[in-house]
Amino acid sequence: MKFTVEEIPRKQEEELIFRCHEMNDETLETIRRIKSVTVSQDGLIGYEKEKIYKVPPGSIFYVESVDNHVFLYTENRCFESRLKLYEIEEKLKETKFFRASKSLILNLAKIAYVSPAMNGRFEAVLTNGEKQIVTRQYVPELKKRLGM
Amino acid sequence: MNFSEIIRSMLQMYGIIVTGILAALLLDNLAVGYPLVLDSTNVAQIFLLALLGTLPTFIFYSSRELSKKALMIRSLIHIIVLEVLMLGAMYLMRWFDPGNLRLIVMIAVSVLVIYLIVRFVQWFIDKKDADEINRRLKEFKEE
Repeated sequence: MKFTVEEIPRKQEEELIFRCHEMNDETLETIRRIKSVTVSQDGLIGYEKEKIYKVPPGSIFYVESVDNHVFLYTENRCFESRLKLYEIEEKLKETKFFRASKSLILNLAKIAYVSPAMNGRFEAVLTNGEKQIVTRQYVPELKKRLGM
Repeated sequence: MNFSEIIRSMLQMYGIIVTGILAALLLDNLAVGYPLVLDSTNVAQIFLLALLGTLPTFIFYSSRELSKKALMIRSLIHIIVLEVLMLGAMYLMRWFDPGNLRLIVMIAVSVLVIYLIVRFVQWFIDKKDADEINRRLKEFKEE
C-alpha cells in the first residue's frame, strides 16, 4: 500500500481520500478506524455553566436526551449539547458509540458488562458504576457492533 | 415494545405455552390419579388456550419506552389477565366443575407455573446472549 502525504494551505479543508481496488470488510473496518480517530480529534461541543467545552468522544460515557435537551455524560461531569440526539448519532456513526434506546447513545468502550433485564432488555453497567438500559429494539444493534 | 416485537414475542411464547399446558395436564393427572385421555377436541382446545395465553402480550405494547416501574406494573396486570383468561376459557370448555375449588386452585397454580417457566426460558436465552456479549466486549476492548 502506498501512502502519500501532501501539505496544503490552511484555507483549504483537510481531506483524506482512500483509494482501493475493492470495498470489502477489511477496507470498511480500516475506514471506520480512521473516522474514529478524526471524530476524536474534533470532539463534541458541550456547555457547562455557560462555558463552552470541546468534549473528546473518548471521554463520553453516554449521550442522553431528556425533555428535548441533550446531555453528554463523562465520568463525573455533564455537558449540554445544542445538537439533537440523531445529529450526534450521525457524527458518532463510525465510532464506538451505538444507539441503546430512543433517548440514549452509549459508548461501547465504557460498558463493563451487560446483564439481562425484564422483557428482553439488557442492563449495561458502565465502568463508572452507572447503569443504563439497552432496550429490546436496540439489542440487535449492540450485537451487530460486536460482530454477533 | 413495538408491534413487530410483540408479534415475534407471541410466536416465541406460543410453542412454549403449548408444551407447558401439556406438561401441566400430565402432572395434574399424575397428582390426581385419573387416567389422561385426550381426543381431537381437547387437542384443539389446548392450541386455542395457548393462543389465548399469548394475547395478553399486547399489554406490553407501547409506542414509548417503558420505565422499570411501568414494566413491573404491566407484568403484574399481565399475569392477572392471563389467569382470568385461562380460567374463563377452561370454564367455558367445561374442563372443571366451578364447585371444585381445589381443582380451580391447582389450575391457577399451573397457569402461574407455566408463566414462570416461559419467563425463565426467556431469561435463560437472554443470559446466554449476555454472556456472549460480555465475551465480545472484552475482545472489543483489547483491540
